Amino acid sequence: MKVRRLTEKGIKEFRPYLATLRSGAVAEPPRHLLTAPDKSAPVQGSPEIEEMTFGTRLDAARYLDKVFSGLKLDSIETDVGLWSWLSLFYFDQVCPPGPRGLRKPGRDYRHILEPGYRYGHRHLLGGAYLVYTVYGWGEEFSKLMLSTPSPTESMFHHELATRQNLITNRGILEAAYALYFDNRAQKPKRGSLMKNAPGTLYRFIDVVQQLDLTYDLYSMTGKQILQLLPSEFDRWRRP
Amino acid sequence: MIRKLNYTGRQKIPRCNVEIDVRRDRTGMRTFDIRLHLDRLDLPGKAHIYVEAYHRSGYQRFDFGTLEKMRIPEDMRLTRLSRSAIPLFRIKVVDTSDRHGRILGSVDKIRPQSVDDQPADRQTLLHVEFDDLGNKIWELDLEGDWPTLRLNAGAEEISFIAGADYRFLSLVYPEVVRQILTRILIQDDHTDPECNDDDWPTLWLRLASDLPGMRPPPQTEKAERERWIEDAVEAFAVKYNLLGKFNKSLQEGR
Repeated sequence: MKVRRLTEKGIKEFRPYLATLRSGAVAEPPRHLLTAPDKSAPVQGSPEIEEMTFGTRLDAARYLDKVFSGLKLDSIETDVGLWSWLSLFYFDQVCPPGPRGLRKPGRDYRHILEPGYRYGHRHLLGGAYLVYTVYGWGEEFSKLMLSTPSPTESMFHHELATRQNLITNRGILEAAYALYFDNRAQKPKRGSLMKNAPGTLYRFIDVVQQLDLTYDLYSMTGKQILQLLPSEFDRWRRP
Repeated sequence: MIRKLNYTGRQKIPRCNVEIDVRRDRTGMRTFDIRLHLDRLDLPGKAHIYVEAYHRSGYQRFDFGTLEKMRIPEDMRLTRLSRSAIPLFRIKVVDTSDRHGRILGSVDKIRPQSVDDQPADRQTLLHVEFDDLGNKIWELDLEGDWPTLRLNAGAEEISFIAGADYRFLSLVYPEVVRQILTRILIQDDHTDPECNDDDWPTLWLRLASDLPGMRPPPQTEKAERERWIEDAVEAFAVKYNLLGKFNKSLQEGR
């Protein structure tokens, strides 16, 4: 199927559907919006997309990267209509029905993109694409942030992607990856998201934000940043 | 009340030492020209200069050599930023003699002096951008680095209307003021108009506090702050005679 973008009218119909689901009702996604001429419109370059099953958000990002590669779409990451259409197209992936058909969509911005620092990265598909393609972390560091199932946002993604100075900085992501990603298990290390515990992600962010005032972290490698961290991080340095 | 203290020992580069013009090259790609006046800084000549441009998720960094041997990069195209974006800039002077580069001086949130040969106010309180907003004529974006009034690029004569039509000004701007002050005082719990001259909440609070009949915002409960915001909106309308200009504009249009 050719990718389209929801128009303002299309989004206006998609939004109440999400509210209906939140109220506890069982309802099928308004898939007619995907092709209705006044509810959606073609996208430049007419990229083709297929029904897919994504194991993780990384799988989704990898696939969308292929779909949109080679297309010269300016500001794709802020294209509200496009990402809303994609969410509706893959709605069973990003908001699967649970027992008795109930779906839990969460806040609108998980499905209808709200560009900006606050919620832009929280769109389940758009946020994954941002990390993989727009920031360009590809197969390198995306695993740390996108290893969760499609409907679930990892706290690694939430905490890192919301801060431009962290998500755009190779050295910081390299350091976070080295500390918290378990290469054997291919997922974040256990306990790395505990709050009020020494050396976990939350402390990492606090310490790095502090270091950012004094050091030019953009010019440092992950190794150099790791050297600046205090001893509370030692336990996480082990592979 | 949050005050920002600088314990790092780094120098603050005066804003007037940096002049930036953003323009488009022959292919339509955004690029920039910059004039850096850093020779009066009391910093070692071997310190490195970095210029960083950013807008939303986009970030790009340029190496300008050292203070004693400044080198303008050949390619200054803003390829990692949206073509429609007007970026902000950050300048860092970094001591790279150690393996951990220490920031010796910096200045952030530099707004270009001109964009596409049109002068841009350096310290405007509200940036204006043109974009595809669907069927909306305008919206206020408070999620970026600076408050931005986004106007629908598809709305006819919107640039002229937003800049000179008093009907637009009197209907839209009081709401812009209300939303910005609500964000600062209610959502972000920021009440100090003297906190940080480089950041927009401080500048907006100061603007509102200086309006006729206004005082600095209360640090008390939410209801009082909300009343203060409404007073500020009214004072703003009075200062710029929005009702008079709205009526006059209607009469002239008949």
